Amino acid sequence: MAKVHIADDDPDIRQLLTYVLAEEGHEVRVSKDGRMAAEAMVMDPPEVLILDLMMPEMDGHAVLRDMKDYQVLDSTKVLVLTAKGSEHDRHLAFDLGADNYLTKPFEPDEVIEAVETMLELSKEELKVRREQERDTAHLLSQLESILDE
Amino acid sequence: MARILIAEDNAEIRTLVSSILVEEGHKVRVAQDGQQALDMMLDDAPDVLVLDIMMPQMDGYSVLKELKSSGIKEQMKILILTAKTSESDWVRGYELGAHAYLTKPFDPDELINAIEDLLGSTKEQLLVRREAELDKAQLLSRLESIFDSK
Repeated sequence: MAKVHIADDDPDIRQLLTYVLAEEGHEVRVSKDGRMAAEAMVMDPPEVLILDLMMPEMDGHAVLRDMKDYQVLDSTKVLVLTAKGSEHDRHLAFDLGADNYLTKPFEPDEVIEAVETMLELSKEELKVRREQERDTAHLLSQLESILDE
Repeated sequence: MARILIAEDNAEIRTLVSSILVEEGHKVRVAQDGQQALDMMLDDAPDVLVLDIMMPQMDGYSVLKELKSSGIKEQMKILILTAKTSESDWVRGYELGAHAYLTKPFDPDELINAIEDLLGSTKEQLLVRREAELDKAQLLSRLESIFDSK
């Protein structure tokens, strides 16, 4: 069991994630905007934060910056879950301290698996894994371009 | 904000109750039967238990009995949420240590108010209220028996 915080302004996503994660045995808390999430991260840091990027009051990137300032990023792991799928957003989120990144629409199982992995691995291990994945993706795209020629 | 455990075997009601309570800012966990709920509470007791009565493995009354003998009930406030409506069930819940009683189907607002009321009351206030409810039940059953005998 872990303490999981869901920050999303979409009530349907909040309800779905609450159901999925509570059924897995986790303790769930939600925030409806970035401001609420940032406050909760300081007052009551969870083990995992599932963070939407586009939210009113304060966006997900700003929440990450705030968490860095208050040094709660060491204890809380962050899964960004967003409709924003651009490389720029992804890089920015990782640079700001996110540990994993999923884009909407998502399968409930993907979220469960991502949360389990984040709970099992350390921040450092997650980073190594991410870099390996990026290298693999890079290699694959190079191979593809060679084959296309 | 309180930590709430929902013990309910019906998946739809579990989802509904957990969704209502997280939206109110509470931290929510769920258990799918009485045994699981009890294990979870022994490990880490919540502030409030929302307890269904008819559940597989172990029913709500047995959970209340186990809580009583384990001693962890003391810090916890208990709301029974059940489809059972006959008066003897209601009395039995109170006698076994529940603090409030809500019957299904319920309004989201009723649930929110019942939880707020539990959180806003001291254990002593809740005990006084439970005694009053039990007295009222006793009076009602005496009245009933008078009418029945006529």
